[in-house]
Amino acid sequence: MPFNVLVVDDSATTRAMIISAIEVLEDTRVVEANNGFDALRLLPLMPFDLIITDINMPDISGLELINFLKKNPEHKNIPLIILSTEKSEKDKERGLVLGASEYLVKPFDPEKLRMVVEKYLKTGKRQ
Amino acid sequence: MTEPKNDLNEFLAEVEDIVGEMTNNLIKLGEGVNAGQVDPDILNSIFRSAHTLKGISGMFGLTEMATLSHKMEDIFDSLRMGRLSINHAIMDALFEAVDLINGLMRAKAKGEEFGMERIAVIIARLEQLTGASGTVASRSKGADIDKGILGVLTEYEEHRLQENIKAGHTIFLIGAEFNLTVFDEGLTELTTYLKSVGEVIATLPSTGKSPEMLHFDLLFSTHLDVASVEDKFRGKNLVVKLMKGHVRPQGGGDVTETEQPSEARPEEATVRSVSNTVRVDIKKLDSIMNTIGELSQLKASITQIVHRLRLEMGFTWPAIELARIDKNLEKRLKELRERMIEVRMVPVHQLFDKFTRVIRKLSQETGKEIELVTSGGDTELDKLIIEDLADPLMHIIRNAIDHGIEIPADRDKVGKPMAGTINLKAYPQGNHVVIEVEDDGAGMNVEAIRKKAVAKGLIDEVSSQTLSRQNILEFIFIPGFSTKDAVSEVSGRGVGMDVVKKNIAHMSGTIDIDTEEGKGSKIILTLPITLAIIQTLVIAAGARRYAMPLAGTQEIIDIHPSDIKTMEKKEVYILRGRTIPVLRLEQFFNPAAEIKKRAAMSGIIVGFADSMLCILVDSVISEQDVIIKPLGRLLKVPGIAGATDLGDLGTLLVVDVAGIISVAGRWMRERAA
Repeated sequence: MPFNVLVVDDSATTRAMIISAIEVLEDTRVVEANNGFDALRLLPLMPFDLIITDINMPDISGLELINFLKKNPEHKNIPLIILSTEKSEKDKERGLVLGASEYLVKPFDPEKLRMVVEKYLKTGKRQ
Repeated sequence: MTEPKNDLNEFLAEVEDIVGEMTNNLIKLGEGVNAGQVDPDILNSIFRSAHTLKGISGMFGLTEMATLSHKMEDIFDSLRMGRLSINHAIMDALFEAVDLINGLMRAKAKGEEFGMERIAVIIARLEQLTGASGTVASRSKGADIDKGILGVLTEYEEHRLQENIKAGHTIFLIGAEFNLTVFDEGLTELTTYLKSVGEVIATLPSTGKSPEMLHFDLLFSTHLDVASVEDKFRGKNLVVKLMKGHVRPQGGGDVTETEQPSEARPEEATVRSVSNTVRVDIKKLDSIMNTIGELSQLKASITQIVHRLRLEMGFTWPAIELARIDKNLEKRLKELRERMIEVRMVPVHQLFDKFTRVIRKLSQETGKEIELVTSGGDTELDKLIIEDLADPLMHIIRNAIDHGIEIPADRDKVGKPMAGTINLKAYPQGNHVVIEVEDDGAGMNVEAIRKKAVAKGLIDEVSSQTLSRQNILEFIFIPGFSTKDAVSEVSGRGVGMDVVKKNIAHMSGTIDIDTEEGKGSKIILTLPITLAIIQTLVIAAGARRYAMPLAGTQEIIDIHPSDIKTMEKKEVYILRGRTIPVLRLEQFFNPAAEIKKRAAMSGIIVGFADSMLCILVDSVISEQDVIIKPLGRLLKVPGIAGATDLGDLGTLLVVDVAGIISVAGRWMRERAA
C-alpha cells in the first residue's frame, strides 16, 4: 500500500509545487485539500501517513487543524509538517507546541522538502 | 517543476485570480477607509493574497514579483496587526503595486520584458510608507482566556481577540455540531449570522460525539451583552459559553443552554470530491466542439440509414427501433452541444472588475472625478467574447472619460455633481447579452457631426438633411471620421470608433449610440452569448462564396469535368474504385442555375460510409476559423447552418454539411425511384 500524504494549502500553485517535489518518492500518493475544511472532510476517508499544511488559510488555520488532529486519537500519530511563511515566530512556536514535527519556510527548497518528507515516511509506523 | 510550461500556466492563472481578488478587496478597503470603518476580514484576506503571491512567485524565481508582493505583505501585516494605520497615500501605493503585478504577469504570459525601474520605484515608496507612519507596538497583554484556546490561535487571531477585549466587547465561545459530510453549509450559515452581529475571531474544530459528527467552537466577539446573545440563540442547537465581558446582574457567569441532540442526518458519509472546479484551456473546449460537429455528421448518416431501412423494410422492428434510437441520439447531441456552451460561460464581472482599477488610474491622470457603477455582473458570456471584449470596452470607457465627462469645474457650472458617473451594465436579451456604457458627460452634438460629414464629402448637404439622428450618428464609425481637430467640435467622440465597431462585428455583435447633448452618451453593445469557433474552408460556387465546416471533410480533390460520370441518371465520381454521388453546390441552393463548363473544379468529399458525398465547387479559396451566427428562426434554409462575418471577405453563409447530406440523400432516393 502506498504512503498517503495530505497537502493542505489554499494556493493551487503551491500545492502543485509541493507535489512535484515529493511525488518522485517511491510508493507515495499525494492527496490535495485546498483549505482546512477539505482536510477535515478527507481525514476520515483514508489513512494518512503524513500531513503538510499551511498556516494562513481562509476557513480554519493550520494551527486549528493541528490542534484538531492531535486531540483525535485516530489522527494524533500522523506526523505534521508546517509549510508557511517566516512572518510570525509566535505561530511557528505554537505550531511546534501543538505537536507539529517540522516548520519549513516558503518559498521552500524542493530538495529539502523531499528529504524531510522521506524521513517521516520512513520512520512512520504503519502496520 | 517537471513540466515548467504547464506549471507556468497554472501559476499565471492563479496570479490572475489573486490580482482580481486583491483588486476587489482593495476597493472594499478604500470604501472602508472613506467611511472610517475597516473590516478586519478584508484586511486579513488581502494579506493572505499577498502572502500567497509572495510564496508562489518566489518559488518560480520571479524575484521582482516576489519582492514587490513581500513589501505588500509587510504593509498588510502591519495594517492587520494594528502596527500601521491606513490612509489614502497607502491605498494609492497599494493600487499601483497591484497594477504593476498585473503588468508583470501579462508580460510574463507573453514572454515580454517588463520595465523593472517602475517596480524599484514602487518598492521604495512602499518601504517609505511602512517606515513613515509611526508604528504602534503590539502589546501582548495576557488575556485571561483559556490557555488551551489561546495556544491554538495564530498571532493574528490573538491580536483580534485583544483588540476586541480592548474595545470592551463580550467574548463568547459558541459550540455547534454538524454532520461531517455537510458541515460547511451549516457552519457557513452560522458564521454569516455571527458576523452580522460581531466578529468571529477563530474557528476551532474538534471531534464530535460520534464519528459522523464534527464539533466547532467559534470564538466570537460582540458588542451585545450576555442576555441578548442568550436570547438570540435560544432554541438553536448551540452551546453558548461566556469567556469574558459584561454580565448583567441577573445573568449568570456561565450561560449554558441545555444541549439538545444535534440534528442527526441519516445519510451515510460520502466521498466528496475535494475541489469542484477545473481550469481548462479554451482550445480544448473548441476541439470538443469540433468533435461534436463531427458526431452530428455521423448522426446524419444514421438518419439516412433509418430512411433507407424504412423504404426497404417498411415499419419492421429494426427500422422502428433504429428510428427511435436516432431520435434519442439527436436529443442527446443537442444537450451535449448546449452543455458545452454552458461550460464556456463566465460572468461579465470578471471583465467589469478590471475596469474599476483602470478608471481609478484614468481619473487620476485626467483630474476628473469618476464613479463607476456596475450592474448585471452575473450575466454570463462566452469566455472568448469576454476576452475579446476587453479592448473595445476599454476604448469606449476611455472615450467616455477623455471626451464625455467634463472637468469638475465645468460640471459644477452646469449644475451637475462634481463627480461624473459611468454606468456599466449587462443584461441578457434572448440569445444575446447587451452591455451598455453610459456616461453623464457632455454628450454629442448631432448637428456638428452632420456638418462634419458634409465637409468631409461623405454626403451632400441636401441628402444629409433627410438623414435621421441615428443615421447621422453612424458617421462616427467611419474610419478617420473623427480627427484631432474634430475633438472640440463633436465632443471628440469617435476616436477609433471604427476599430471598436470592427472588433464588435468580428464577434458577431452590433454597436449602437444614444446621446443627448449636455446630458451624456450611451454606447450599447449587443453580443451573442456564445462564440463557438469552427474551422472552415472558404469555397466559391457559382457567383457566391460559402464557408464549409472542415470537420467531417474527408478530402479535397481536383476534378476535371471528364472525371464526372453519369450512372442511372445520377452524376457520380469514382474515388479509388468507390462510386460516390456528386452534388453541385451551386445547383443545391439554386436548382435553376445554369451550369457553366469549367476546366477545373474541386470536389470536397464529405460524410461516411454509405452517405459519402462529393460536393462539387468551383474552387477552394482558403481555410478560415469562423464564428457562426445563427440566421434566426425565420430563415430556416436547408443546408445553411448560419452566417459568418469575415471582414474583408464580407458576410458568408455557412454550409450545414450534415443537412446537405440528408437532403441530398432524399433527392437521390427520389430521383432513383
